[in-house]
Amino acid sequence: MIALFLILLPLIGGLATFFAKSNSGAKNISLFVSLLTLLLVIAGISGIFGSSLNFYDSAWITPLGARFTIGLDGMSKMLCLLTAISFPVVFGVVYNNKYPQPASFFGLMLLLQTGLMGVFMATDCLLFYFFWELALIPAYFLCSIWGGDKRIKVTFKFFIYTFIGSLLMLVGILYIYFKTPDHSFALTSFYKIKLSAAEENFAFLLFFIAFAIKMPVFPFHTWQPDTYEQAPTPVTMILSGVMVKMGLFAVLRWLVPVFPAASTHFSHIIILLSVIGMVYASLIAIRQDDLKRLIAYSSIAHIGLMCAAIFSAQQIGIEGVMIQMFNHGINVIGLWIVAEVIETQLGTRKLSELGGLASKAPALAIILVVMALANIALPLTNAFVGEFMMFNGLFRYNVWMAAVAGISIILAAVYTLNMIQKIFYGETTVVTDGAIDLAMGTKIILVVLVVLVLALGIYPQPILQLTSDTVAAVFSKFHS
Amino acid sequence: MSTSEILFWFLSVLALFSAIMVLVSKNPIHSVLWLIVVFFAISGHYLLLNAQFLAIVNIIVYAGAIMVLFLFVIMLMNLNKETEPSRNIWMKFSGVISGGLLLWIFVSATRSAGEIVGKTAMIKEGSIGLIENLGKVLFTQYALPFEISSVLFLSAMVGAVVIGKKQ
Amino acid sequence: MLNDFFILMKFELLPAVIFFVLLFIKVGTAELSNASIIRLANILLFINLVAGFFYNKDGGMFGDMFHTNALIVLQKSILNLGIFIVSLQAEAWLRTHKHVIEFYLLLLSSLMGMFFMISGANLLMFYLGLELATIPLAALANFDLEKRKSSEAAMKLIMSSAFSSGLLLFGISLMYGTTGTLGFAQLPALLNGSNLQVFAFVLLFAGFAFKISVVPFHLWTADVYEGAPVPVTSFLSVVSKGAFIFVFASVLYTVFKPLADTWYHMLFLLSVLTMVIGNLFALRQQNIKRMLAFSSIAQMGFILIGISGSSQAGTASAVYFVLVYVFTNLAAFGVVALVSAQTGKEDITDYKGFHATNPVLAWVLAIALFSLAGVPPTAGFFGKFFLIMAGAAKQNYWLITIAALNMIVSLYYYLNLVKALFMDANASPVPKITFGVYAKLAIVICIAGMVLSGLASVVYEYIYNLSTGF
Repeated sequence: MIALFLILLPLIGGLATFFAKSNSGAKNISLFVSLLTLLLVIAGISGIFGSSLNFYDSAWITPLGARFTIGLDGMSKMLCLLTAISFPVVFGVVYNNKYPQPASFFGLMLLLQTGLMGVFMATDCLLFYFFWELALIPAYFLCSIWGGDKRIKVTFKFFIYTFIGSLLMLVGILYIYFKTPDHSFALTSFYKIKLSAAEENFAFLLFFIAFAIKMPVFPFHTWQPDTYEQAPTPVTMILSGVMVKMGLFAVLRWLVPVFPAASTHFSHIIILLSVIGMVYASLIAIRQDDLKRLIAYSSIAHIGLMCAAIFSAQQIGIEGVMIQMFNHGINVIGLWIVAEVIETQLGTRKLSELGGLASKAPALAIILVVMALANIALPLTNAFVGEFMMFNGLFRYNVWMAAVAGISIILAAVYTLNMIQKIFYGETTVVTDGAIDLAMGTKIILVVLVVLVLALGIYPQPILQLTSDTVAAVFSKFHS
Repeated sequence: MSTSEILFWFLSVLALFSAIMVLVSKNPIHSVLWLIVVFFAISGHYLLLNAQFLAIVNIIVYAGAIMVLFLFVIMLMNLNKETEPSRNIWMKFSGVISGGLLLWIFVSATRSAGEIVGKTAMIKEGSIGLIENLGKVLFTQYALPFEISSVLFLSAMVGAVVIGKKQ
Repeated sequence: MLNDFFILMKFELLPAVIFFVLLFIKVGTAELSNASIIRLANILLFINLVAGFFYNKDGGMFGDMFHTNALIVLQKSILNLGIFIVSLQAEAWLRTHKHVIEFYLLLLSSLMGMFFMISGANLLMFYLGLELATIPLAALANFDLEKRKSSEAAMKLIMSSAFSSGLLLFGISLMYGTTGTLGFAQLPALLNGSNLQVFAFVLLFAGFAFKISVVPFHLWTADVYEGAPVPVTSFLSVVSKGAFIFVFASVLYTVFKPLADTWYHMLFLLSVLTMVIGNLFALRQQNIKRMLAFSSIAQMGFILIGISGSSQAGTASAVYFVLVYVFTNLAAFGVVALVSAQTGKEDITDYKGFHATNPVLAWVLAIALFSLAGVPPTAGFFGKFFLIMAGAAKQNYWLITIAALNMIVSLYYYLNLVKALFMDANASPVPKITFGVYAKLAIVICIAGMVLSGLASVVYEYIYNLSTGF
């Protein structure tokens, strides 16, 4: 029941927000609904009302063998928690912003949350596909209506690119469906298929391309920097904080356990592509002047590492991915919040035009430095734990790959520290002269995020515990 | 060759020749007149198949009513050979090819058809075309299509009146 | 026996009664205003729609000229729904038209023709029903009496219909010549696949293909859809096509079952051609009616994929898709009809910035376009998905892949229109459209249908249980 409400609550909240009359009405409803969803997720994770409420199954389209089955296992719990935390944070940060047509804006955000929750919980492939596509429409409208100058072409490309991937996945789903012994879409049926090597490789590729476009993995990443730059920053927070995790989640839930032989077959080339992507994206990030594009490329590098770690097929690597999915979400949202604050206050995102903000906005500076250090994966931050485990796994797979991937950490330090230096230190410029420090609300939210970063850096055990069942399942499938 | 065979060959050649002349004539009035000859030839075939009623109805309805209507329209619109639009040579070419292919396939399919090879047509023997059989069947087995066709005529009239009425 | 007559032929008798009521009003002395005639007609059509759901039973009359069963009743109800929504949407244009009653007379006779065609179990009845369905539409296409384009559309429609009827009749007569019977029940046993029979079948198939505007028999579609008045275009593209799809699927599965291998390959080839060419041409269109015309051609290609599956899922997915298509296409054409009736604008460039002046209509059109593209959660996604599933049962993955690629191409031009509606700015956008209660009701029905018929799986399950394959 809790699982069902996790989908229904944002849905109904979103529809209600569409009809809100005033700006504050829309904001308040959406904030309230997202906080309620967070409470519900925490209740589901802690198991206060009994863990059977975390699953829901009912008949859906019986002629096809599709059922409406959703459930919260370890990885789903963690990702739902991430989603549930992200939305109130985002709503809180933009509380004082004024958007045209706010009712539609906040309504679409909540509909986006519905889609995301559904993807993370679905254990029936048709339902999974349904929610996967469902998350796309609100994202498209949000980016296209409220985005930057070049948004129209960019979001068009984003939608069509992602849709191509989804349709390839649909072909793959149908292909697998007809190979299941009992002609059903359930995850458990998908585990029972027996395919020849060629068939398995073919289906693997169809699915992988869809997920690779979503994550994104080099060379399918070309839509990402433009879209992140042109989208309104709150939407970018969700896109990069949560939506990319859809791709990683899908690989761990639907790709590797269903096609273990093909995963091992293709792992070398996938890791190679990921590592190339990491280094490539980091190099480009160094040369970026636009703050949003810099964070976007940095995100590609981080996701590349996670993808490589999954396919390294080591238990510690997969554990690292689990924890890093959560950590990266928190960290990148923190970075985007800083970018948003800078942009709304000062009207520019260009590093060349910023400078000396530390003297004007010390609180902002401190928080950004912490977030940036988390981006570099310094010890004491949560990212360190995740990256250490992932590198460990990659190292055990292949020393050279790990070494090349390690270069990207150095490059990350280069561009991140460069960014900090350019924005906060040095002389104040014309633009930053009139800057003021953070508002109280934003300060509180950012402090909460910083606390999470440090707390999980020192004591990551809760997340590891939460996701251990999924890790064991994936790992055993890999080596079955 | 018996009389029936001679008549069959004569009527077929006449029908084919007139049909080709319908298409080839430059003057539209000539086309209509050749078409009337085609109808007479087909009616002749019906007579050979012992369907006298169908033959007469064919002449009355087609050659009588419909062709007269055609002539009226041609006369009112003052069509003659100058107003005929000429077509692109490639269109004519492709028309000939596709029509020719269709003819070729049809002729070969008919020649190889098991139902036709080695059989002779029923001349002067069939009773399907006789008026009493037609009448019986029309009001018993095919009563429903008969009524539907009346609705068809009514709606066609409504449509024609709407389009043709002076506004 | 008389009781049977009224119950079994209820679907045909009701429109006939309405036809004669309206006819007597026309020839009588009462001078009713357009508004009251429209109100009366809509009420009668609504009664017609609702009465179709009650007290149906299976059976046959007049030998094999008429038969009905639960699936046929469902199909006729879908067509009733379609004509009701078309009539609601036509109100804006009919308000000032001089021939309101004739419009309804012709529409109803076309509907009756479709009903007789669906219920017929005999080639002659089928042919007569087809003619009764088509000829009033040719007259209807001319109903914008001042516009030259309308007459041109009617001319093209009658020419192509006559030609296709000629082919169809040639095929029927050859079929009769080689088998000796016209009845659907007796034909399958007598089909032996000889050359002449296959030739006759190809001609029959070509006649059908004309009616559902499958490539390469589609050349009349764009011009007729563009020239005819929008309500007539809606009727043609949704109700007429839907009826022909129903008959097509049922005839292929029952009568021509022995030729299944032949028509499977024909369907495969034609569906690929149709989807590809329909989408490619739609990309280039500037007139919204032409774009929707080519998009409906591409959708027909999809339906052929479903029908090629030859299974229970094949019939079910085709019927379900026609239902979804009724809601979706009528929503899209409804908005176009309102804009066209009030401002006469039909170009895509005129629709830029539509959202700013008419937010509700812009959202309706956007949802309809997403449904046509097949994006969840609209019913269009489920419709396309079921069609692809039915087609995939034959394990022909080339067909599935081509279908998926075509979905992407079609998404491109639908998204282009959505982008124009929401995101492009316009110096002189379409002004605020006022629409009355009829248009509002039509929009509500269409939106409810698009959203609910996908999510409520009972709809598809009900259709599936009524279908038969082989």
